[in-house]
Amino acid sequence: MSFLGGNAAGFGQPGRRDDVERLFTSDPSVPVSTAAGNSSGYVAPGDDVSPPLGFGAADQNTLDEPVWETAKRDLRRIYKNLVMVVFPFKDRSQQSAALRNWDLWGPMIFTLGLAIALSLGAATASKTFSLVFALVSVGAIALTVNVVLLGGTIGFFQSLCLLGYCLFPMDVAAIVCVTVDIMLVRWIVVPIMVVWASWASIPFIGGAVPTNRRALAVYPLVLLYVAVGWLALIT
Amino acid sequence: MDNNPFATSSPPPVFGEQTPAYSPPNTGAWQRNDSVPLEDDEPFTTAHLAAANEAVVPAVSGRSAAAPSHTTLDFTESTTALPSSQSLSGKVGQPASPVPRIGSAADTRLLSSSPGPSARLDGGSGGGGGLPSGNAGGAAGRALEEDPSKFAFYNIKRYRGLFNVDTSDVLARLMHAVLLFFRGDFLEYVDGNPDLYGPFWVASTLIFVTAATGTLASYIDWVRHATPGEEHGSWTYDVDKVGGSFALFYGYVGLVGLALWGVLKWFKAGLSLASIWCIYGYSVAAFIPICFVCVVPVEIARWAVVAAATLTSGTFILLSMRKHIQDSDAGAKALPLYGTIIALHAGLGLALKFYFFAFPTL
Repeated sequence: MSFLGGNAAGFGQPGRRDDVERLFTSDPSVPVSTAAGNSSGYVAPGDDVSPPLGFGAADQNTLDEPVWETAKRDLRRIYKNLVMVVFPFKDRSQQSAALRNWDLWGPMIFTLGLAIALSLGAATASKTFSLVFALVSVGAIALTVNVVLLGGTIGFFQSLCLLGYCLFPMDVAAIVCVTVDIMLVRWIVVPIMVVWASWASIPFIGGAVPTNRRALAVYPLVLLYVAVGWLALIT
Repeated sequence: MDNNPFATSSPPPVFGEQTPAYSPPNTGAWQRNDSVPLEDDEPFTTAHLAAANEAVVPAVSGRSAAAPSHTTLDFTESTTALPSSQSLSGKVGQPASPVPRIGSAADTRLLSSSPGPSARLDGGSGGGGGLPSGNAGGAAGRALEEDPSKFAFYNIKRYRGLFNVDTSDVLARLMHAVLLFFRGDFLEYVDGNPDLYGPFWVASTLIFVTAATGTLASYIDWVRHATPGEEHGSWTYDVDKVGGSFALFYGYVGLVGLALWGVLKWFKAGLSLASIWCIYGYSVAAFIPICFVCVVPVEIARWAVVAAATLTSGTFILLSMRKHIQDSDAGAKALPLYGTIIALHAGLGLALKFYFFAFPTL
């Protein structure tokens, strides 16, 4: 169960109190399982995981773990969400479960990465940075509002989460374009990345509106990715 | 008309008679589509949305097709059939055609019996009661299922009435504005259902296209004028052009439209702000194809194409608003008003040419 990955970090490092406590309780020591208590399988940092077996002091208090463990858990979660969203080789019903645990860290990391990468080689770095950042963030919000206005139902933060994660291919394109100067390589890589990003996000956006308006919702999405791709291409 | 706004979904019990058992309406939206395995009982899968979409559409349209001119309603069907709201508008017999939107009101309609139908008709500017015309781009009597004005002003859903268009509508309106600009009937074509989707996204597309083609044109110009020994990588794009593009086109459609609406309101011309934005938004679509032509570094071609687009889109704007201005209190002031509109539009064309495609030629 990939979504218990977040707790695996906690398991691997049991607090000494838990071990000691388990010696004195009469209940058999059963590992804390969040599958029953938390259907999404994800525990926010700082939450107390109360095991359903009434363990007493054996709750995993994430407050005591090292900072590196917290950061690692978040990064692992971002990675798993990324794999689920952008590389959906399995069926897409997994994707919606991933999206219920939306987070905005991933989108922020990818947006910042994109803006930094595209402003590295530019003449006026600060203007380019603000342009890219504003374009992507306001564009994602505009796309979500567009879907709602066209009569679709979509979760606002779910949508921002998905659109942010789907920027990952554009990040790859931006890094390639900044490092490689050969136009041929850029002209090959950027369209592939645009297609990949669209492929990851179109089913979500297009599925939220009625069929006779699907193109109206999908077109601005493609426009956004093409615009970002163009910015990468001309760097 | 026997439409009783207080009718419930089950008939009133009659003494001594067997009341027919209430059978809940059978719609596909509430049936689990088990072809897609459910996980965690959550409803939000794209497959489910698609399945629910397919299921609801035939269910409703099937029923409404079967009851086009009902005045007495079969109560077990009333919660799903939509003709009740349509026939109160005075156009009895008009078949109900709106496709229920997933999650908007299709669910609530199926749960509750229809409330006062008059509330439904007042929704937004895209409310039903439009002419039963066969226009593809017009409203065609399309009604929103919910009354958008019941939402608060900060709720996005309140403004759904301004986006009540389908893909075919938007394409038809684009064709009408760009190719059929000489006909002055855009507002009648839009038929009381102006949309803001077209203006906003056409302007956004135009922003991107002018920035991209302008940059490409500057690159071509640089390549043509570069001295043979010059390093290849010394061309950089001008970020300011992208920002200027945003300001120019959003500003033109948004602010000039707003100002014109204010003036026309003063003249009591009766044009809504959405209609004006609709006209201006679709009119600038004429500039999109010419940007691609302007990449070619031939000055005469650039001037010719920009002039043509400015003329056609300006004509379109003028002809669309002419009737309203003439009928208003403008009187003698109509001519300066026309002049202002023409001057502003010519200004847009010139700005497009000089800001994006002005390079010293050999």
